[in-house]
Amino acid sequence: MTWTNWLPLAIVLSSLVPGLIIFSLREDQTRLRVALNLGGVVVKLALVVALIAGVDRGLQFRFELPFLPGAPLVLQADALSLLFVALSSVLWLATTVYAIGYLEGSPLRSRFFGYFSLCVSATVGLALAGNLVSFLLFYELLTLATFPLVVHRGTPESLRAGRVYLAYTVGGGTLLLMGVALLHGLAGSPDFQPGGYLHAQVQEHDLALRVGFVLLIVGLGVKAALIPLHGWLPRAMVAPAPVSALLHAVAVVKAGAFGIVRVVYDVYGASAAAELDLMQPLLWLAAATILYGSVRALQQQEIKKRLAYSTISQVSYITLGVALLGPIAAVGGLVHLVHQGLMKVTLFYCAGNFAETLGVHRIREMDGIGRRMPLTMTAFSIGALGMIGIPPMAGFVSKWYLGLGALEVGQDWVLLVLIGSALLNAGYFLPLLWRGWFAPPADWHENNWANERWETHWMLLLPAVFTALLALLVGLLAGTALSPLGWSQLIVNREFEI
Amino acid sequence: MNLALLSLTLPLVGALLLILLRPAGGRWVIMINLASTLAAAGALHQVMQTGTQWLELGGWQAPLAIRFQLSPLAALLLLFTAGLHLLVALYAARSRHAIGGEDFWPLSCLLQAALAALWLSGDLFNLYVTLELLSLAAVALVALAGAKAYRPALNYLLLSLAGSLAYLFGVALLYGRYGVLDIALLSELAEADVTTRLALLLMSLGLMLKAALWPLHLWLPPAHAGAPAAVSALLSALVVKGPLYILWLLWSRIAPVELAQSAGGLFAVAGIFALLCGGWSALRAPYLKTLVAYSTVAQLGYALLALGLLLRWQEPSLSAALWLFVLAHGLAKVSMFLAAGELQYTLGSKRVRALKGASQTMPLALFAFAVAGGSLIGLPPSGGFLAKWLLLQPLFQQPQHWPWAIGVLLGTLASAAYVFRVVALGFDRARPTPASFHPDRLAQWLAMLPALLVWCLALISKPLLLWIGGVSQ
Amino acid sequence: MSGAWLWLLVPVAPLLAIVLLLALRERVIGWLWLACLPALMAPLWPAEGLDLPWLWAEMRWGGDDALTRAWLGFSALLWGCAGAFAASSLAEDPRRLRFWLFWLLALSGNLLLIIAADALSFYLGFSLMSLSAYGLVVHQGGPQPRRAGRLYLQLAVCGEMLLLAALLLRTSGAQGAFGFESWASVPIDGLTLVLLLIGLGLKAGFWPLHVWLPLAHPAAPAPASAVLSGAMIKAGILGLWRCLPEGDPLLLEWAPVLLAVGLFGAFYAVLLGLCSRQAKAVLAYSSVSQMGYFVMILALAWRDPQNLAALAGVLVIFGAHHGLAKGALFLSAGLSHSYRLPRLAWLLPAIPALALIGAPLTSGGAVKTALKSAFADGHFAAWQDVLSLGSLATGLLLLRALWLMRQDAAAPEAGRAPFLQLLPWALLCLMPLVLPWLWPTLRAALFYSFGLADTWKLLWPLLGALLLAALALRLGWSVPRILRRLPDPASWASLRLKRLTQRPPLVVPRPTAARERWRARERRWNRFWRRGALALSAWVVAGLLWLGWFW
Repeated sequence: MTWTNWLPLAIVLSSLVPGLIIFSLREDQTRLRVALNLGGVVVKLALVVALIAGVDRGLQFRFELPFLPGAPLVLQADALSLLFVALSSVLWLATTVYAIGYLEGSPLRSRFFGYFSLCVSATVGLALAGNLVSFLLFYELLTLATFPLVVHRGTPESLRAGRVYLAYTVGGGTLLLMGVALLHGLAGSPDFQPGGYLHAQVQEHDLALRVGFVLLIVGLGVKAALIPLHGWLPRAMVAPAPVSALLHAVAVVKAGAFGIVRVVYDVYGASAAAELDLMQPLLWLAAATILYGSVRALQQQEIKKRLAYSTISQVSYITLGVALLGPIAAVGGLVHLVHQGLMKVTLFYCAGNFAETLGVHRIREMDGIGRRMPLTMTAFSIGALGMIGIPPMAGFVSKWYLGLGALEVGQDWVLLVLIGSALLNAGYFLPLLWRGWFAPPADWHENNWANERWETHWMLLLPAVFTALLALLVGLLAGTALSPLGWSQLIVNREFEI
Repeated sequence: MNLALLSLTLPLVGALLLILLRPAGGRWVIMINLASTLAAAGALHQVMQTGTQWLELGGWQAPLAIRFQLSPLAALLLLFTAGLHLLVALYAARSRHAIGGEDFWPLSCLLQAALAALWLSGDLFNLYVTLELLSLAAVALVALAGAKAYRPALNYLLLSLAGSLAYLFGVALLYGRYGVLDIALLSELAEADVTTRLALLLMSLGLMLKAALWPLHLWLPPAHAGAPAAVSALLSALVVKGPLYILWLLWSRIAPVELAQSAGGLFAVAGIFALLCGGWSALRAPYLKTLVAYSTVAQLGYALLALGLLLRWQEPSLSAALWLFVLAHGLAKVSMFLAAGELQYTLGSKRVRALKGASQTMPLALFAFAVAGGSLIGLPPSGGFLAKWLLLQPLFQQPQHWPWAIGVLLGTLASAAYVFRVVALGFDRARPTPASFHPDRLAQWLAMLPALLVWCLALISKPLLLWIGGVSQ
Repeated sequence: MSGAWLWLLVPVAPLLAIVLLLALRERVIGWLWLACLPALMAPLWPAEGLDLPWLWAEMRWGGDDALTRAWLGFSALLWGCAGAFAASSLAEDPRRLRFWLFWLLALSGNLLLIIAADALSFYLGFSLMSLSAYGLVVHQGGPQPRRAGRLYLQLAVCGEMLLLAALLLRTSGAQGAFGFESWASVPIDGLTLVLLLIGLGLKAGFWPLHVWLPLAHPAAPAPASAVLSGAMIKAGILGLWRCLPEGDPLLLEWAPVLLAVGLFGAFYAVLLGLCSRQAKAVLAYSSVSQMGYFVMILALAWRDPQNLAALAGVLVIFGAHHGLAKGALFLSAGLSHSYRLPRLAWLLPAIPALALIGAPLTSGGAVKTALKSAFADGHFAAWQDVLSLGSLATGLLLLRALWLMRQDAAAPEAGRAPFLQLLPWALLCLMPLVLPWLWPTLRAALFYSFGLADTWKLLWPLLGALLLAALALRLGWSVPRILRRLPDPASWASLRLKRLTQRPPLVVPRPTAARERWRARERRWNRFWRRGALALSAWVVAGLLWLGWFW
């Protein structure tokens, strides 16, 4: 066992251990808690950087532990997992800072940050999971770790949301288990590999493979919020803003989408999936989700709810890109994994800032907020325009590749979906921007700012600005090799053997 | 002296001494349990080295003698029994409210001895004796809770006696037909004739009644809910497993294949019904311990399902799933009942609704409950998950077997529903129930311990399967 | 290092100016017009294009072609003058920071799309400009600008999305290449063409896609209208010019249709403009009408690909001429509305007006003649005389605009116009006279128009327009009542669309559970089972035994 074996485990542990320690802290040990949190973040980021550097040099990172008969617990780093690990680590950094600022002075912080760290550990584990069984393990852990965060406020409404969340995710997890067990019976649980490992079974077990695929996709689709499995997501909005950010951008929804990518590319493989005719229905489902989520977003009058429905729509871009089964579309889908995360997390930070600083929850109350909180509103605008797909924001890159990919494989109608979704996105985001920047301000916006240095707590402001800048930069500097786009192209080249 | 026999004799002697001498029980029982556990562990180690052993008592030969059979599985169950008793004894010594009186100590020792003898017995009549002993000890333990528990205890006693009677009748029929009672001998002789069939039917019904397998589970929820917490833990985790063990021996060893195959389907269907009905009742139960008791009914459904499918497809690998279910359920249930006892004692109410805000007032106990519940649901990497995984493997082998998976699916969802019902209530911060007095942290940790153990089961799956698999091949 | 880096500076300079603006606030406003300086220098200092692979592979800014340089030059000039004007005219505005923010963003976008040598850079600049211009349109606040802005934004976003679709289709057709050069030889299909025409046409504002123009221009502040009309809407034409292949058979087929659209638009907009009673709206209609001529140039290029080089020349001088003249007129409208102008100063706005009508010796005369000769060289030679008629119509429209400006002029007690506004305004107004002498391309066209026949062709529409205008004044003609309030389906549709997006008619299924009934049933069920565990178990055992007997 050398360090290349232990590094993946260390990355998971770097948030798990601080999390477990935090559980045992008293409520008033704020300094220690913050130190543990930030220490964990920094260590994890450093380890991830080491991992990326190592993979870049061609090292193999693999950790194995005996687990089920014939299915060990494997953590390993490949290009796809690095994409997700890097995303979640960076966003965890921002979200931790944000959460520390957001929850300053509120009760039960030890519990909150404990579960928060667990949640990230599960996400990172899920990203690094080397086979389906390990993936399943972390997927379920993620469900469990997130639930206390969703119900953190402890109000009847949040409990209801928590119950709905559990009902959906546990159901999905069970189906996933079924699917994993089915595939394990067919082909064992080898490591994920580009091009999949089920190709040899296509002739003999086509029915089983199809059923397994449906089970897996439904199980993952719950977290990825594909319709009609999306019901939990808008309700989970009652959670505190950092949790929403986590749910929508870093952990839960992304885990589902990431799982779909894994299943299609590294379990079934593009060619087997194409031979089994599995992708067309998934494509329709993704397209329908994109449009439905956008239309429902239009209906919402609360900022966070609108953002939630927007997530439903946007995350399906990833599924769409995968389901198109072409290299260019795959790049679009993968890159959206990162881009959506950056943009959506920005939007949620900003929505949280509005709520926390001024008590603004509804869209109607946003009039003239840009003058009171210009930086937050700027960050919000970058996120929102990115969601619509305006260049040079990140969202445009995804949309461009998805569109090109759809044309490449001859599914021209997808272009219509993309354009329609962009228009709907504009329909529900631009009024917010209009209110923020142009509407005559409500009178209370001017109060109580003069004596403060920033428009809100700096720990709330900084993450929003940071992620907004990232969302802008990854779109602007898409051509560089280490950008998400460059990275996605690398992954896709391996999958499609270009 | 053989270590396994030591593990059996220690509690037996201890029980007798405790009854006779009446010392303050706790400390002694813990020591007895500890020694018994160590002896069982040694026995397990031994048997893994040497393979299945026959322990002859008194030097007589089969078929006359009391002959004990020490298989790896029996050794494992021995260890399991002793270990759980040790855990419960530790908890009981700490939380006096959970035992219902000093009589608990000798009775629990007796219970352990009966169980140990049951695991070791290789002959139908011996099994009957241990079964009877087990039931009597269990009924007495239930009655410890006081006047409120008398009626459930009486029901339990009567049904248990009826079950014993049916079992005995079946044993008599078999003895009349074949003239032997040793299981190994019987398994070579048994034929699928009317007598055998009737004997099996009677014995199965009796055992099902005792193991509270659906649809004969009606006595269980009141009895387990009414008993003191430590007793409930033992009853749910261990006592119902005894008859199940006999049932498994009966059908997988003695019953002719064609009979077993046709009965297997019925068992499996009953298992699925148990999962659903038990799960639903647990979901709707107003009292915490009733909920946990119904969950036992539901979880036994898994074991029944595994048994049924094992018989139906003659798939020996499923017995590993069956025994893993038993082990995982035992550990989880101990944790759950202890946590429930701690919760309802500290919060001062038996109702599920009283758990509001328990995540703040008693985080450890609620966490123990949740973690144990996770194993019941079958979340990885718990023992419940491992068991379910093993159950699912043969189930997905052929497309015509797939419908059974729906049963597992529904069972999982049902158990998730009732576990999270409790957990979600714990997070209700709107109107939390205040604790009547300061929660006992150590007791809560003791409740947590088996739950943590069960979550590690999957990590030691390799030796575990070796121990279990030692007998199923 | 070479001059190529200047291209990078062209769009980035306004962005740097934004940084300065945010840092230094008020102090820097007077100097913001300098952000156009790199763009003014770039055409004078020819340099190779700049590749930017770290932004996006294949991205390329700038180029050594005449079209880019001339277009960049006149746009920068216009933006600079208008910016200097705005620095003074909006000095007291309470929301000037916001105005400048959007101004600079729009400027950056506009410059970028001009120097873009690939479709993505073009699209980047295009959307940056379109969206930022919204901030300029609604700057003044109040219901009218809000309505205009809403329509503008709706159409801009729709246009952008259609454009995106078209660009995707084009790129896909070119196997993923998106440089304009690589597109020149890729044939186009009908869908892409329609998407491009509508997507870019919504920005260019030619008939029938002009609906936002007459609303947006009067609503915006004068300098904003000037750049909107003079520089921004031409982005659409530029885009069409660049995105389409050379000599495509499909384009050949479509050329007559496009010509008809252009011709009709050129006259129809005049009619609409004559009915309008606001100087800036009239000017906006004039822009719509002039866009018709741009469309005609496109049609000529589609029909006769061999004349492409010549037509490119016509396009660029027409663009420069119209941009500067229209900008000057809008500034005049703003200036005369707010300040008292000396009587002599009223001669200045007459110069761009005359130029637009096509009076000899102005840039307009040169452009008109060049356009006519372009017509004469191609397949549509029969239509060239319509151009003179068009000049007559334009003349009427612009005379009406001047008249309305005079009517609208500020009361005598208003203050004198500040020098800082007069200077850029005067500069722009004089451009139609001066520019031909400074710029060789235009100078050649001017010399070419000096023939007697050509001069007459230029003069008679002007005289005719003057005559008709005088007649109308004499007779006291006013817009007939029925035409004063023309139906405005676009605004109506925009409002409906807004309401629709606010409350989309989507039924959300809400399952209602009959809880009470189920609860009662459950109670009964529980009672049934609780009644006697013992007896029930006994019955069950008996039943099972009985069943087992038959098994």
